[in-house]
Amino acid sequence: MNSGNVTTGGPSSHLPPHRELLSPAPISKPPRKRSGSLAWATGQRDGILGKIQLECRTQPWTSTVPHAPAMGLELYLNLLSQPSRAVYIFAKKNGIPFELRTVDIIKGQHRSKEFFQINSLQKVPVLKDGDFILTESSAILIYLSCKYQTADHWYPSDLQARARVHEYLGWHADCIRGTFGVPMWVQVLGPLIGVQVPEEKVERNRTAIDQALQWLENKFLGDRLFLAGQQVTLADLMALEELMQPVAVGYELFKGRPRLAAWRERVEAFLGAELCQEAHSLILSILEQAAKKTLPTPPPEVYPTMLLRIARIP
Amino acid sequence: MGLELYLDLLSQPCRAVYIFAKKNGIPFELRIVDLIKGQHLSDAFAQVNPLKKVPALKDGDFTLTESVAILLYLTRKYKVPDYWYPQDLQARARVDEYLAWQHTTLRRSCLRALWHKVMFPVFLGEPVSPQTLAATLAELDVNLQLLEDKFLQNKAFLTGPHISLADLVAITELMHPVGAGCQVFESRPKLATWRQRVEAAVGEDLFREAHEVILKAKDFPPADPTIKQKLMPWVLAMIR
Repeated sequence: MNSGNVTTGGPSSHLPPHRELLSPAPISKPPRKRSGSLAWATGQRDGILGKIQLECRTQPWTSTVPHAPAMGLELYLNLLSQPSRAVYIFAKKNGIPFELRTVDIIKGQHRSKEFFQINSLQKVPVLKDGDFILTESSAILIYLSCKYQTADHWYPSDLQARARVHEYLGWHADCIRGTFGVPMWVQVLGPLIGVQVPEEKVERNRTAIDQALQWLENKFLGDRLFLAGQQVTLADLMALEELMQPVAVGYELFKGRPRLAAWRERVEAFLGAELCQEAHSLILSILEQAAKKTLPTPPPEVYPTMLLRIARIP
Repeated sequence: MGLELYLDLLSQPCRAVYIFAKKNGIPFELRIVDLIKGQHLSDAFAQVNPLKKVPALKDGDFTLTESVAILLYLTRKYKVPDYWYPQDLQARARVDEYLAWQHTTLRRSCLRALWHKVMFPVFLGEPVSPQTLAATLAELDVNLQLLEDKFLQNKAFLTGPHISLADLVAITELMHPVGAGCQVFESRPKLATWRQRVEAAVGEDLFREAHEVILKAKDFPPADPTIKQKLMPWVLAMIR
């Protein structure tokens, strides 16, 4: 099944092929598991992931061989997750070869014993580079940019320019992260487990989003082309992917914000329409999936963390 | 004008910046922005930081906010010892990882612990329900456990054998609930010995100096009504 050749097919077939991995020792494929337990991404997709035409070959990482040879770079992601998308886009845009390990959050794969070995915090994204495991999207992005020596503009070596990226990321952690994910919880994830978020919280979140967008547009963007300067940086990627979350459930974030709309177009133009489509198609189809009831049912063991997350909505 | 640091040692991130600059002999003008007097909400300070937050750094024409950004700027500009933010790719990634994680987890819990346990009831005269306080302290507990289990584990410091920015940011955060009277270290021997190592690495005098204000938080006199009215919206937004 696995030739060891990792490429991306489908809509992005013209992208340069990833480097060939050395063919690892034969690993017996584990029996197909029940849904709700491990079903790591293979060349085929089902259900919610069906729209992605990636041909990323992945090794079934629950190898039955105790000491499998070291893999190349592995990225444990879910394209429903904003920080996962930022990492995915960055790696793809920069031609960084990696094995995609999709972690189905809705099915609760992130709560499995196996994934706990990868990340005890049970979250995505996670990077695994040989024995080195790294969590936190900004740390992963910085690591990738340095290791693969991506173009300077992403994470500028200039002292003040780099400081601006970190300044944005700090503010982003406070004011964007958490806040911009709420509409998805309200409209899709809560209802999936029969939870309705009170209207007053929804309104409060809308206000918080509005305020954050004002700061984003006025303080960070200002009259610059991008959030931390005149070129695309990690900041723009992190921001864009957070903003896509409420956009995906119908929030018109860019309406009445021409400067921000123009920024978004610039970032997407820079990344390329195909890569954006590839990275965003899952999240942008979420409402449709919810309406058609084709979203997976979260297993009961995932309920407590989902409920906790919803309870934390101010 | 040389480097200016706009700080209030009541604030956790300010303490980290203060200690870092002092420890590394970085010359700066200290500009105190008294939070409980609402000085950060003034028009004058808005000229420095329109986001009305501390810490803020001003280096000539260059103004910078966000403590992690400031710490990294100082690290690079003043060429401090490598262990603070190692050149080694993986060692540095560990520091980045901690600094990113703590922002939405431990930082938030420590802030809420101080405000729910002490600042609301004592300083602002606003009672906090036992359930709210319990929930806040429970969340703090969870994050302290993660600090121990995921980050510290059996190492001397959070990211390896040497102190780094991660430890400095963490310890200054933990002093917030300590200042509120929470038993952060008493039932956690691993964290307690880590704290001792960090204090020794920073220097006990400097550590004490930086934490004088927070350790007196329980004794702040109640805010007068004008101040209280001025501060409430900011406080509520800050600890949502």
